Amino acid sequence: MQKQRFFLAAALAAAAASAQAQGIEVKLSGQVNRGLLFVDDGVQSDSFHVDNDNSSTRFRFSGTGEVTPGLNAGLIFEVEYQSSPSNLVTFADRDGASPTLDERYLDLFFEGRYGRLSMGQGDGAANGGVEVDLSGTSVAHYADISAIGGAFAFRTAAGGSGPTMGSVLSQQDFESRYDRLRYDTPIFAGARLALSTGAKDSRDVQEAALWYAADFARAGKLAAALGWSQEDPTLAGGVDDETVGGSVSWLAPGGFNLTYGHTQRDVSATREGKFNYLKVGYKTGKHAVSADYAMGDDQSAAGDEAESMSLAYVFTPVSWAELFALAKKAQLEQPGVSYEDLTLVMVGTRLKF
Amino acid sequence: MRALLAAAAAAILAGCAAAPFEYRAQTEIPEGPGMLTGAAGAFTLRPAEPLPPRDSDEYREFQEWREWKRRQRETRD
Repeated sequence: MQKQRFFLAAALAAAAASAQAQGIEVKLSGQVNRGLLFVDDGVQSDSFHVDNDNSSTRFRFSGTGEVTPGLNAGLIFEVEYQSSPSNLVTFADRDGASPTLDERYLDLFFEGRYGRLSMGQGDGAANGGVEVDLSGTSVAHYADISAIGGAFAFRTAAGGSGPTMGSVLSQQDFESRYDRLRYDTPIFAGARLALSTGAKDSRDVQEAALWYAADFARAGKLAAALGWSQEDPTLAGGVDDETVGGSVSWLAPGGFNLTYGHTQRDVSATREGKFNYLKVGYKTGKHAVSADYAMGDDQSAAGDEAESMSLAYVFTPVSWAELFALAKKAQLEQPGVSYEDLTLVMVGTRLKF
Repeated sequence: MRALLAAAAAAILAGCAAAPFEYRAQTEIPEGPGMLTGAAGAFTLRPAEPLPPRDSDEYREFQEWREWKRRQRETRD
């Protein structure tokens, strides 16, 4: 094992030195994404200046270069810097803690005719598998319902607090990003298989996913993903945190689009959290509009039934600027308890620099 | 779940006649031009170019240019 590690380290060092000798170009890019959010939970209402967590403020260094003929090496270093993240603000904490640099990607990869091998902090094989979306309005709303207002709690008419929107309407998008080794096959007829293994929150994680994207010309574009993930139990003897699901999105040549996503996750030995998502949209030129509907069942407790409906509009006057507006209503039904609806309105802009 | 599996299988079969494209989530940093970075969409950092050999014309011209700049500065002072 030690010997294998030595040879792997030596091979990586030799590859890195070779890449340096050939002069990899490094690119710096990023974006700022801010919004004004208004929230009414039926008991209280207020407005917030937020960082849009649908696509947070962030910057990235990336680069690729040829190591040997037919083999490229690359790196991605990406961090986010959010002041008042839209998924964390609450009435009690309107601006959150001081922003910090949070890791997103600290990843290197080697890519050739046999596929791509990635190592470091980055996407698990199935990350984003329930979020495939060709609507052009993802900056305003997509399957990650809790990215906007996820920390707000449902309230009873008497002022009591129930579960947060994020805990009952999670899209359960597999294992997100973590320290892992990932392999992606080459693309065959628009499809590729991805596998990853690593550690997240001190627990072992495995993921597998099938990704697909193809342009059918007159029949439009289709993108889809099917994924599976498994994370070791939090406590010894507990159940594995296992998630299966996927999503599919179709964009017609005229701009009409449809998106559907579904996941189910073993939350405990006796409960399976479910998530369903449907989006209908239309985009033409610089404009995109869509309506979505999401359902979360049994996520926070058995018998929970949560719903969210929203409308969004995105205007892209130039390719580096998007202006967006979102109106969302979320509801929770729980046996024996009556909660007020959550209403959210947000307007904002994302500028790529 | 069965519907998703069936849709994926049908898409892959039908996809043999379609052109693959690279799907990029819109929630990532957009591709294309940037407000400050222009058409390139990114600031590019390159390794410094090595100096030309000392016996080359390019190196001699560079030295002459430096000498000319130095004389200009001295004249101004």
